[in-house]
Amino acid sequence: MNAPEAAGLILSILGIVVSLYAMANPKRRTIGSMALAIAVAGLLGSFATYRFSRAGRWLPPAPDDMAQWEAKDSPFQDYVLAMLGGPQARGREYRNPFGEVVYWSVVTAGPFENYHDPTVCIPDNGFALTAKREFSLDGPGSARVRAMIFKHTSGARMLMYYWTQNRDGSTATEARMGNYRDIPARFQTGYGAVVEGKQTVIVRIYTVIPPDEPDGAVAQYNLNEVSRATYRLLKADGRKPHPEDTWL
Amino acid sequence: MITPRRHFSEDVPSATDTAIAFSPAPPRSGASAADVEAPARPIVVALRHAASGMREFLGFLWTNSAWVLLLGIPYLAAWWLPFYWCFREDRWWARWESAIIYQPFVPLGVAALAWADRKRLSVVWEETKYRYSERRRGGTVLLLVLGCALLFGAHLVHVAAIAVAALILIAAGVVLRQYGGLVLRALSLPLLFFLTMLPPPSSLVSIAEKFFQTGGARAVASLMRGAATVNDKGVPRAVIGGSQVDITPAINGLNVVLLLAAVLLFVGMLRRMRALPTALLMTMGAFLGLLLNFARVIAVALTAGRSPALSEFLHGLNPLLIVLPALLLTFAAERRLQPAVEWAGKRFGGVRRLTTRTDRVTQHLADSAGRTVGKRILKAGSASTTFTERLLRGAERSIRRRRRQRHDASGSGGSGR
Repeated sequence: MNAPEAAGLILSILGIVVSLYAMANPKRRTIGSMALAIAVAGLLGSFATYRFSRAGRWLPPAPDDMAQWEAKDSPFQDYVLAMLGGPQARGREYRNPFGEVVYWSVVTAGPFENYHDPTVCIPDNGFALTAKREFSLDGPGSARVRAMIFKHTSGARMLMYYWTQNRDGSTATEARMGNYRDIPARFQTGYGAVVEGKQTVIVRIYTVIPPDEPDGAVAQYNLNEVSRATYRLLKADGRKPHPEDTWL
Repeated sequence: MITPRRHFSEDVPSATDTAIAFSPAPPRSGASAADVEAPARPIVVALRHAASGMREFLGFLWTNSAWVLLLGIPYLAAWWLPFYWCFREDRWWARWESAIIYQPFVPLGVAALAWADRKRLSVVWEETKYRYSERRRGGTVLLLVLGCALLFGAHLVHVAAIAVAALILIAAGVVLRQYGGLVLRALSLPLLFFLTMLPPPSSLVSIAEKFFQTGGARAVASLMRGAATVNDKGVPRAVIGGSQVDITPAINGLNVVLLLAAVLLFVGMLRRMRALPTALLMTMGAFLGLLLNFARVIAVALTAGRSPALSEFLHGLNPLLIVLPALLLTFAAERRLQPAVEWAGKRFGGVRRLTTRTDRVTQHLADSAGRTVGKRILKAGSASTTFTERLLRGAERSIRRRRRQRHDASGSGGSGR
């Protein structure tokens, strides 16, 4: 447990004790019951914060056994991790025999700071979103993922797949930034993390579309291959028990 | 009427009455000039007044310490995480250049407004006690429950504005439950001021910041006959002679304007001014604050070449150092302008009519809003009470039925044996 939720927890427990003590006195029963309701709301808040941090404790492995693909670790830079609120993360580069590279990253989804949506963050760095589509990655009705094409001011194009995946294998593609439009998606995440105890990771897999390939078919093929392997591995790993799993 | 203002203010000593009570006694007829104490300066009187008020407030807290502890600890516990989000995670309340840096000071203003109104509140409370029996005095608990539920919802979506709204609802709910609707209505002014603590959507803040940056660059450029451009990162820039200054969020003046507006709104509420004069006072303060900020920006540009250290210092100047002189200037301007405004009010019926109409509209809006909300709360409260009663009665009935059946079964079983 981190310091903020620990402090909130101590204060709330103190509040509950004080209000229960007051409720023992018939004259102060009304105030005591009101104080108890407020303290319980505070306690639930601390519990929610704890459950959010617990939601970010599952860090699955990266796919290693993809034929024809050579993997190389490429860890996140410290400033990127700091911007994302210090989650656990894995980064990789997959290279095929033709020298085509697919960049792969998985970030644990704890607090909402971790959910930096690519459509919001990438355009700041000279990219513009030119296409967006959602589709099922592993056959009809299976994992929904979001595909996006970004075009740089230099003319280079990037194809990216983005999704969040729970341990049970379910996926989601909605943005969860701090604006009011995203509140339903944030509520879904919050309910999943706090009430249902879901643990989630955020997956971003991308590649550069070569300039001599206007339809990007090869880039899409490469991305599909790596993304499908990732989805299946995450689904299998999520079902396995982990030593760091806690009952609460 | 939303607040029985005139009726209660007649029973309550005014600020001047209190000041008179603290001023020195008149000299005796036989006393020499040396014996006569010089009349205290207004600032000394104000300080004595503040010290006495603080002593009285601490005494109040001490005598009600059990009550304060009882509600204070859980309420602080509920505030802790939303405060942490705004202070540490988003850093809205931790940086002086933040547009909404006035918000952490709002609870002090709320407490001061409630404390300044304490005598009227005690009169309203006495009236409530006189009108209603102890059982009927307290209002519905629904508002408090709604606030607590909303707070949990705010934790699920991790949005500070919803959490702060929930905490304001909780405060209003406690007052309603404990003291009833009359006292809640009497506390409407502090609660309205509490609403200024709601963090606005960050998209709105960034739009306002961009507007102030662009506007600031253009205004400074036109004041100094320079040019307004943008730098390579798209930040508006004012070019004055050979110097240039980027109008970043730290010096765009939005934090100064909002801080001044909040302080002057508080002053208007404390003085129980009408809506239009308060709005005028806030506009005047914001205008003077902006002018002082433009002066700062010009000074930053002019000193950039000759004295970079001074320029840097002016760039990072605490907004309070602009807000305080702007406040003093606003009050001085208000004092100067007051006779002219009064004269204009007498001379031109339009001004008087406008003030009266604004006052009437504000009062009507507040009154109808208060009535509607109150009616809805009462209706929902009674509906929830009826529902709970029915539920309990139903549960009791089914338990009785089961008991009866068990009894009958055991009775018939016994006869069968």
